[in-house]
Amino acid sequence: MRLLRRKLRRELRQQRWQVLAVAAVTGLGVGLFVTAYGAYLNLAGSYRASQDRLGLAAWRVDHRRIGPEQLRSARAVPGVATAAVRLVTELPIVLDAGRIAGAIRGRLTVDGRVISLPDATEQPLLDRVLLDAGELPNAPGEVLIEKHFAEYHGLDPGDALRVGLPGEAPLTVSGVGISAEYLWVARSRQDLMPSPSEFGVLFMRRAEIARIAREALDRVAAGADDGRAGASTSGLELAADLEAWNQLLYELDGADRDRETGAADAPDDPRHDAVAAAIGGDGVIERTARAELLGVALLDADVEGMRAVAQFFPVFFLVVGAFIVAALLTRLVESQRSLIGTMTALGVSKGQVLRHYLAFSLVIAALGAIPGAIVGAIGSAVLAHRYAAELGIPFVSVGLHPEIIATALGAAFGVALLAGWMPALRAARLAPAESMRPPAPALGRFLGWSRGRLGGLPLPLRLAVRNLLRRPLRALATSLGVAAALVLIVATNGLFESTLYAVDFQFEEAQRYDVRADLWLPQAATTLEERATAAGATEVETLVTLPAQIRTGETSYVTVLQALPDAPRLQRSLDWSGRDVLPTGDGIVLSRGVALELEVEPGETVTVFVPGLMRSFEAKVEGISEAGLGNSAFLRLETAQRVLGLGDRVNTIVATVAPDGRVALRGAFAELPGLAHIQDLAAMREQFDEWMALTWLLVGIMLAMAVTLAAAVLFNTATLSILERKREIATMRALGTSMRSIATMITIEHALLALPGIAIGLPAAILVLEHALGLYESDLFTLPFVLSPATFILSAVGIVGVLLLAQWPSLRLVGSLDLAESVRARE
Amino acid sequence: MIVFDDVRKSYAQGRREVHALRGVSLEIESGEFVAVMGRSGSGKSTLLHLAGALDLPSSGRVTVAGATTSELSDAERTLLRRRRLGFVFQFFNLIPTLTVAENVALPRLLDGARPAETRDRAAALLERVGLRDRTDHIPEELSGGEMQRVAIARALMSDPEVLLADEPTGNLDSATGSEIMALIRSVADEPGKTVVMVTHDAAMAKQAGRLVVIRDGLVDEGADAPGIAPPEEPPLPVADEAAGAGAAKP
Repeated sequence: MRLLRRKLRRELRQQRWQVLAVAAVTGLGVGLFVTAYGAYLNLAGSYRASQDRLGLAAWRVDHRRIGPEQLRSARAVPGVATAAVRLVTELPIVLDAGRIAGAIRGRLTVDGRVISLPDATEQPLLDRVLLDAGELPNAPGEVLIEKHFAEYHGLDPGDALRVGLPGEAPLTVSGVGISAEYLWVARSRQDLMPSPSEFGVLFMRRAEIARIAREALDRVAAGADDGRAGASTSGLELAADLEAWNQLLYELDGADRDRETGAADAPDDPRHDAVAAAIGGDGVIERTARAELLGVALLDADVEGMRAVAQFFPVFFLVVGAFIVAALLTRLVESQRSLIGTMTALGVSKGQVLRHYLAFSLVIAALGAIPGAIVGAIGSAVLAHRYAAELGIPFVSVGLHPEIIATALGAAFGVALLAGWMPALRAARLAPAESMRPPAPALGRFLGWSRGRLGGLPLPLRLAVRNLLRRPLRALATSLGVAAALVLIVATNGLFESTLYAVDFQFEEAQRYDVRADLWLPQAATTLEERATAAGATEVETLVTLPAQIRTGETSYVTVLQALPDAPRLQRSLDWSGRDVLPTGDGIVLSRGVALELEVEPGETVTVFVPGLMRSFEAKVEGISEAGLGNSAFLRLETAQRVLGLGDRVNTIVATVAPDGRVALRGAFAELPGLAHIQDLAAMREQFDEWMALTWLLVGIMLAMAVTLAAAVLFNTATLSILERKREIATMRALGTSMRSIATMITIEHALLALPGIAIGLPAAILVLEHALGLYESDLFTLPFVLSPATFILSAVGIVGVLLLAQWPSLRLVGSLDLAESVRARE
Repeated sequence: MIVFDDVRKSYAQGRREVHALRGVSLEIESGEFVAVMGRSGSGKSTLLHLAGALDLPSSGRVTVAGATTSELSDAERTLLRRRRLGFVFQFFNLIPTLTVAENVALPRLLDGARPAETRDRAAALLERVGLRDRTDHIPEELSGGEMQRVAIARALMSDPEVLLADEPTGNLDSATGSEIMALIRSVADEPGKTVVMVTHDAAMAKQAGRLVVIRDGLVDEGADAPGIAPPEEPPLPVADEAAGAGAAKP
């Protein structure tokens, strides 16, 4: 009916600010869902697309040595679709103009991971490299460098760097490449975010690696090597053998990839055993599914956060929006009783009345949901592009995802229908005669209860309490809205605080050193300590650090074994409160991530296998330590030296140094014989800070949304409450109540709404934060539960501030009341 | 007590400007009981609102108890209303969240009095209006007549010099209206109390000591009260603006 539509339009216009506030809440809910879920799908799709197009192998086996015959055997295993081999070896990279912590600092030795490319074909069968600039290395002396490393150091095709021995002829950068495995460059499970000033990935032809390794071996044999060959002799021997590799990559036939994980086959597929047998089961170190590759797992964990946001937070907005719509519509119906009576008396059917008022609710939903969906769709694409650009994802697949938009709109309209149903039905059921009479005062049953009980309260407080008791459901809904906003604020802040705490814990508690050097070959501790002290180190500690496989039953996990002195000060094993968790005797302490993966608890025994030394031993788990990022296993230094046959030798030195001595100490460490790499904590911290910058932005967005939610809820409740009580307030003004007293009464009323919201919101926020932290927990990430009292207090104060701002329009409304007109109004 | 000096009041109604009062001059003496009558839209309620400092004139001066309302700040007008004026409205305007006793005591409570200090007077006023047994009820539990009695008791709580009643019986049946009128009359009989009552009901207006008729925004000198037939009714002293004379209490 055209007339009803016109009426609807006018009413929406009349209440435009309240309508806009609810629409904003609904729009935020829909927008957040479409943005976060859309971005999740876009990014997950982009990762998968990049992995698929670059042929990232479904499975990888780390092996001691794979020859051509074994490769042929693996390819011959029934059900194996593709198999390829490659060599991955660690060699130092020497840059003449390397960059540390954002500044060019001159000559720099970086830990390099060199990955072989086949000699016979341009690209490998699996794990291909996408050229970003230049070309693949085809001539002797050429190297392809990974994009993150190239960008950080400003390396372009034609530039030079050295790999391996000093004195080695420089290699020429033939091009810059992108690897699906290194979209997130992680060195190891213990070093998930290495700075490019410490770690880089290179690709070289297999023959070129063999050449460098042979030359290094020759130098060792001639005694010319000072120990800086960059690989153990056995590693160099493997690298020097043109017909030897240490990784098998393969895919099985007929396997549909899991959309979520990207894994192609079940890990217990018997063909895996056949493959392992074909390449020599004894030599197998570890088999890794594509989804478990470090770079892939880290990207997935990162993007999972977006999915969690999409599934969790929008519900708050839609539910709160529904409560406000219900309140708005209830008031509209009450204020239009006689009009409804007139309409029905004139022949408008009950169905038309029902649809008319439901339309009010649906139009508000549409006003919020449609722009929210549009902004969300754009936002998801922008976010995915920004994120992808930040991470260097080569194939960005951004789609509209109509199913996401349909779900969001369906939820918004469904919730609006539910919210509008009761008031609309009440309107439709009003008999004409009944609706002509003034409504019974909506005082609620609690008001009668309160009459003999609140007499002792000061008048403003008594009035405020009783006003809330008039509409207890609305009061409850408003308080829940406040609680929801508070949950958003506190949980978001808590997540951020926990992350900051974990980062600080890692850099200021667990790793207290400034500079660290890892050596390929263990050396006498005293020699290292003397050299460090001579170079200006103020405090020095030596350790043994080796990759190790921890086994229990059928389960194994590769981590880093760190053997610490008895009272470590610079590299520590701690719980979240900063207390030492150290092994005693021959026991072992595991990081929580390792313990979770192996499902072991203190008291149980694990087997430790150190592949570099081909040694294994058993150790009793004595404790669980915490590590925000990455994981380790800790032994006593003396135990490690004994069971690994190292004597008094160590292979890691950590040191603190005065700020002006940092460069000199790094320089001294760079001269250490057998140096594998140097780690500068300032550079690592820089990496984290860059990563945290994006987190800051997301936190800012969430806080803005929470404030909008709280403001919309309180604004609507305040405005409705004043509109409903215009005559009452005008009467009080007429009887001599000052504006200040009215403002006090209204403020007290809103404070009484906010207080239960705060009381509900704070414990709810704790539960939500615990849940959110759980979502992030994996073997690689563990976040402590950190929520400072300051966050609680500031959030609560913030909500009160929002309250004061949100009630401002309603106070202005009171100030502008036409007393003469309002006292005569019939309510 | 109340003086209107060439008072004009206009306000916007949509795009139209309505001239509610077009130059009213009127003096109401202390102790007078004045009925204001006029047709709908004549400006009688506007006159009452200006007298009650609920509104300000567009031009001219309204002086209440010696104070010119347009020269007072909002806070001063609030105090004037609280301490020197009492209001009775057509729709009672009780605060629904307060009990009967609390509604009555409201003006004193607003003035900072403690509940205990107001209890006796509120009880006495409720006794006077015949609602002593309804002290703890809330307004929705009362009939219309009872609500208006509570409103009258509330209006008297601060012992104001002026009682302003805007169609106090307009929403009541005639029997109840008569009871309310008797109450108002009893207030008007108190020494020093000025009562100004707007009404449509000629029978009620008859009980006032003086009748002011408003027609088209002006005091209509010598007019009969609408609905009052002069031959049957005793003559009422109509406001004589030129003389500024008010009638004595009958």
